[in-house]
Amino acid sequence: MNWGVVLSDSLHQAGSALLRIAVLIVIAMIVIEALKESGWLEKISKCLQPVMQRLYLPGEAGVPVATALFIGLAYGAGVVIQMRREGHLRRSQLTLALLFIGLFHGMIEDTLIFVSVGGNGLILLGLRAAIALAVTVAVGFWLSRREQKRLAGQESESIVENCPIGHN
Amino acid sequence: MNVKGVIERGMRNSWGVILELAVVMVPAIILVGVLEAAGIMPRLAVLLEPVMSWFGLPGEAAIALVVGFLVGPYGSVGLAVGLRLSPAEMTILGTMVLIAHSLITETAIAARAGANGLIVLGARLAAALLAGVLLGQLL
Repeated sequence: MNWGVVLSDSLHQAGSALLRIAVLIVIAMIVIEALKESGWLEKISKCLQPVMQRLYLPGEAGVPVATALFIGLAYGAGVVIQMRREGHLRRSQLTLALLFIGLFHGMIEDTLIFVSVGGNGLILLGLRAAIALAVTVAVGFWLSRREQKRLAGQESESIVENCPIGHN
Repeated sequence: MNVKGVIERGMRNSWGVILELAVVMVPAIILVGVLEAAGIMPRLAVLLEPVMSWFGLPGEAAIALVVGFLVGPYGSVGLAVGLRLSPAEMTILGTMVLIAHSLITETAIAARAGANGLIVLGARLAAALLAGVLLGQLL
């Protein structure tokens, strides 16, 4: 076996893939900077408000979601931490916001990396978006049902405590 | 809008990402080359074929999938390039890995930010497998 050939083949492959990827990364990074600089990121955050409500989230969650979508997961999570400190989100909403962000973030550069090696961008982006929405709605439905049950349980307990017949 | 500043910052940020990619991708591609030349890859492929065929992926792609899930998309792309996956296979692998990647780090970040990490982790993995099965049927 000729290991020199294996190595030079691999390096050749890596070089040509990296070159293709590099071109698209530069484009992606310039687009992201332009979105931040032009104020479009804020506009997108506002447009996401109605979508957030469908996901069992408050409208303000549009800001961390837009940040994660265009800039990255860590930045989006940072915004969530800030909102949590300010008391905007309940535990179940924190889970839902971070689930959606986890499923769908870094949509420009991550998608382009797979496109530059042959992937179909429309499917990579479209199916990921559809599944992220569907899974977040399903988990949100489940968490809200669980919360309602817990609240209902607390109510019936307090009724028992206040019932004069029970105490006599 | 300060166009010059935007282009400058974009270029500067790209350099970091490209460097990070190269550091992970080059060793991943060499690893695939070595595993193939040593005859380990074909055996691994036969072993994993039954599972990977649910997603319309060849058996070898299992390492790209697992590395993507656990470590990150860059390593996964490197392995996929080394494996010479077809465009349809790149689409399937990419969709699955982009939905669920770097699960160790990213679940830690989500838990740190106040989420229930177990729910985030489980739902992302389930979503990735769902995407894979769907695309395996379609592509």
